[in-house]
Amino acid sequence: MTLLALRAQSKLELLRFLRNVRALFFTLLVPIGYYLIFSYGFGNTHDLQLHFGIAMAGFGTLGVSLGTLGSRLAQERQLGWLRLLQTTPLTPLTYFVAKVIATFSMAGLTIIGVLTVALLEGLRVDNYWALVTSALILWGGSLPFIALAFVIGSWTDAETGYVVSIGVYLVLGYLGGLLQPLQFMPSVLQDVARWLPSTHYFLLALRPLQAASSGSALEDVLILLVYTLLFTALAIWSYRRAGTADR
Amino acid sequence: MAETLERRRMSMEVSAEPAVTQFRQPVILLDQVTKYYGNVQALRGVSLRIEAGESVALLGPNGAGKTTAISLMLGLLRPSTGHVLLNGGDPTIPAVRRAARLGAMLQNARVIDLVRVRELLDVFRSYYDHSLPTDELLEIAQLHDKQHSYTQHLSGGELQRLLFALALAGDPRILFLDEPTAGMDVASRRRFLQCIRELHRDGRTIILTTHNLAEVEGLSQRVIVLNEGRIVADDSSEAIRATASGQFVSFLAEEQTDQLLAAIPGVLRIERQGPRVVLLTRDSDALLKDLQRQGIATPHLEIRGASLEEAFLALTRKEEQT
Repeated sequence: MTLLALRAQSKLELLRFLRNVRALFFTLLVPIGYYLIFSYGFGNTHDLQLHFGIAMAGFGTLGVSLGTLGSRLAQERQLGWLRLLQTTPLTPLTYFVAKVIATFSMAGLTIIGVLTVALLEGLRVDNYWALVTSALILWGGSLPFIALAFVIGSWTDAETGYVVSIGVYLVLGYLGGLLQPLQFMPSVLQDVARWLPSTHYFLLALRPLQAASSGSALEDVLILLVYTLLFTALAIWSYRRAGTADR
Repeated sequence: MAETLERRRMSMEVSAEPAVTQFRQPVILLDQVTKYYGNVQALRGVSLRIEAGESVALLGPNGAGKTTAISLMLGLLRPSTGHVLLNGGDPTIPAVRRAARLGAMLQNARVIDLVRVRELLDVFRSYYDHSLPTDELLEIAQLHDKQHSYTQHLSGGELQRLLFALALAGDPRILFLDEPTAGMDVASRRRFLQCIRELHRDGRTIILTTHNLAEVEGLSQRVIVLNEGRIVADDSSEAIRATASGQFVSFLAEEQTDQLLAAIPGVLRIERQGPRVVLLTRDSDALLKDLQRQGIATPHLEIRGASLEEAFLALTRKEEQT
């Protein structure tokens, strides 16, 4: 029964994602549009195309989780929808897992979308398995950002949730080196970037393609893991708090 | 819908029989329950007992504590002191709620967007082991024409009916309805109330809140009146209505006559509105005769029926004082 509910709930969430114009904007239009602007604007060299392709696929997954999920969660809480669900046998875990499954599916869509456009636009790599590995890293590595979206969703309402989510999305995208290479930034910002999850998310995805500029895979994995655990714990605590608070 | 419910009722009678011989546990039990929100006290020691198959209305003005009481019964809130039991268990435990098979329509709840009516009903049905067929839910809520519409395109009344259908998705044994008719037009309200009567006849327990006593007529056998977090009356709906059939008699009178007027036995409450005096009474004819007998003039006389709940609250207040 729980599995049936999970299947139905995941399908519902995915359908709602696909019908959401704003979600599609952040999932496909923004990263693909940026990819085309960057690759035409800054020259079509192999290195830059590879860099932009991975960066925009990563920026797309940030947009899926932060641009959409966080504010949608806040909105559903504000509607009283979570309270209504509390009166049904649907468990909170099923509800959240379905959200994660839907978000992961959309992240897959953005990664495939951006990389397909990049390949059609002339991106060539020596080893296509390396590109597939990078894509899988981008996919799995979006977990801390999904957890972060849950945290934002529990602390904000629909309007502030949107503003905060977009702010975090742009800051993480910019300082993570997704929108501009890190070496062109002031050294202060580079120091900050070293500790951000988006930086290591991007670097880890570049490693199979031998394109990462610094650090080690171990460092990336550790930092992403710590952020995932931290945000997940924070999200669980936040929803427990919201669930037992006296309204 | 009449036939489908009829069929269901017959199948239920068979399965309900052994339960009668068992020890009867109340469906809902509140024992000396208080609830604070910070410093605000929403419930001040409420005790009540609701048996299986009862149809109960919680009546009271806004802020009386009706929604708090329902939320406690649903396990959405914990009491500050006292105990709340649902079928003998703690309603904040999910397994207790699931076993009780409840359905709820919450006050001011809204519906998520980007989903079609039928899709949402099907998803809700997937949450339950027992569920009503989607077409039956659409029929009960009169949403057949709208089954392929997106929820964000529904009118207020349609949304309210959709929430009702969602509450019924799991074929509930206990139905909680918090201000269910808010935002409905007269026709859909009448149909909706008829529907609730049929659901009750099926043997379901119905617990609804309203601030409109007229709505309770012919619907709930029992009315519990809440005011300022206390139960001020708990009686059959006929008894409550009889108590509440008050009238306001007002006319121009000097302030010196107030004391004299207050002494008349039929006057339950006296109130001044500038040059006018307003008297609350159960029987305006008898009161007017009394006034005539005492030689009190009643220029610019006006008589109007008190709205049932304002009269009722005034009456209970008067009785508490004496």
